[in-house]
Amino acid sequence: MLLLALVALLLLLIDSYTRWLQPTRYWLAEVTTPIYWLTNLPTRLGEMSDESMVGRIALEDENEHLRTELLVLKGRMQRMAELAAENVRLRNLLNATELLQDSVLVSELIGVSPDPTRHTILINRGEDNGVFVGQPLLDADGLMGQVIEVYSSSSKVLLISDSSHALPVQTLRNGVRSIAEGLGDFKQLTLRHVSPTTDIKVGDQLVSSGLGDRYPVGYPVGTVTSVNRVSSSAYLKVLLEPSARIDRSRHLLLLFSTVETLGVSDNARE
Amino acid sequence: MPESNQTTYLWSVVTLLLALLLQILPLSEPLVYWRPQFVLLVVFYWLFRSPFKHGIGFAWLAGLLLDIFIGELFGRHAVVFALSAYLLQLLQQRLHHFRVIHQAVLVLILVLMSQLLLHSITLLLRTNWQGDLVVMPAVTSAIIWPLMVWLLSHLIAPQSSQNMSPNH
Repeated sequence: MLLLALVALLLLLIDSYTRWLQPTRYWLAEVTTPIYWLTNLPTRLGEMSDESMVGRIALEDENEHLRTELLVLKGRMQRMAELAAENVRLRNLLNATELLQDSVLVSELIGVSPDPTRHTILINRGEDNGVFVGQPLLDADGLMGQVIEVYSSSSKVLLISDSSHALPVQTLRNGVRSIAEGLGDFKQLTLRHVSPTTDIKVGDQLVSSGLGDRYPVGYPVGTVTSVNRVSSSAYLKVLLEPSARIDRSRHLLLLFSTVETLGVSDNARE
Repeated sequence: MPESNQTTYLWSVVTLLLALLLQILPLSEPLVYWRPQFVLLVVFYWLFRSPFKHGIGFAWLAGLLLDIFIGELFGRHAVVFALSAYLLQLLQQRLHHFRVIHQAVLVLILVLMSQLLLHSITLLLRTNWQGDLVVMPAVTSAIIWPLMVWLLSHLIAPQSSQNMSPNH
C-alpha cells in the first residue's frame, strides 16, 4: 500500500512540476482517442438517424432556406471583397506591415473532458493535418479555444470558458482593451480588472484584440450581459456571454493565419 | 463458492472497462456534476466480493487507468483509489455483516473522502475549488451502489455471490 501510494505520489509530482511525462502522454493519447470516439458514438448515431429520417418536404424546405441564405451571404461577400481591398489600401497608406489572411480547416469534435471542472475537448485533426500548439479554434459564431496538445491525428483544445484560460479582448464600440477570463462555466466569461471609470455597457460586443500573439485580431468573443459595482472590490464585475456555442458546437474550424507582408520595408515604417 | 481465478479476473477487467466507458461518456451540463464514481464503485465491488484476489494493487491500477484516460495529471486517481481501497480493507471483517443499505452509507462516506482528496490534489493544477463536485458524485454513488451490487452479483455467476447478499 505504502509503496504504491508513494509511486503514485511521485508520478503526481513529476507530472505536475516537470514535462518528463509528456512523450508518454502523447503515446497514451493514441490509445485513448479511439475510446473517446466510441463514447461519442451514441450522440453521433442519434444525429445520423435524425438526418436520415428527415422527410422530402422538410429537405426541400431546408434547401430553399439555405439557397436564400447563400444568396444573402454572397451579396455581403461582394461588399466584403471591396472593403478588404480598401482596407489593404488604407493599411498601405498607414505603413502597416502585415495583413492577416486566415484560412481554416474544418474539424469535428470527438470527445469532451469527463471532468466538469476542466473544459477541454478532443478534435479529429492532429499533427498529420498541420495542427500546432496554440492554434485558435472557432465555431460558426466565435472563438472557442486554443490547441494545447497535438497528437498524430487528434488534438486537445482548451476552451475559452476553462477557469485557467484568459484572452485579450477589446470592445467593438470604442476599442477598450481588457482580458476575458473563463469561469469554468460554458455560458459565462468575466473581464479582469475593469476600472469603474471604464466606458463599458451591457450589450457591448467584444472581439479578440490580437495582443498576446495567440489569437488573431477581430474574432467575436462575447457580449456583455452585466456590469456591476461590487462594494468589496476596486473593479467592476463584468460578465459576458460567449459568442461561440462552446458546449454544443460539433463542427469546428481550426484557424491558420498566414502573414502576408505588404510591400512596405522597415525603413519606410520609420 | 470457488470461482476460477481466470474468470474472476476476466470479469473484473470487463466490468472495469465498462465503468471506465461510463466514466468518460459525454454528459450534458447538469448531469455531469452528478456522475457517480463508476470506476471506484467497481473497485469497491471487487474488493467486497473477492478480497483475496483484489487488493490495493487492483485499485491502484484502476486509478492509473482512469488517469490515463482523463489524461491530465497522472497518478491522481491512482493514489486516491489506493487509499480508499486501504480504508475499505480495514473495515473488511465487519463488512459482511452489513446490509446493502449500510454498505451504501459506507460507500457514501468513502466516495466523499476520495472526492475530497482528489480535488485537493487537483489544486496542484488549478486554483478553483468546486465544493459541489465533492458531494454530488458521492450521493449518486451511494444511490447507485445497491443497484450495481444487485446487477453485478446476478450477472456474474450468481451462485458465488453469497458473501455479497445481506445477512451472511
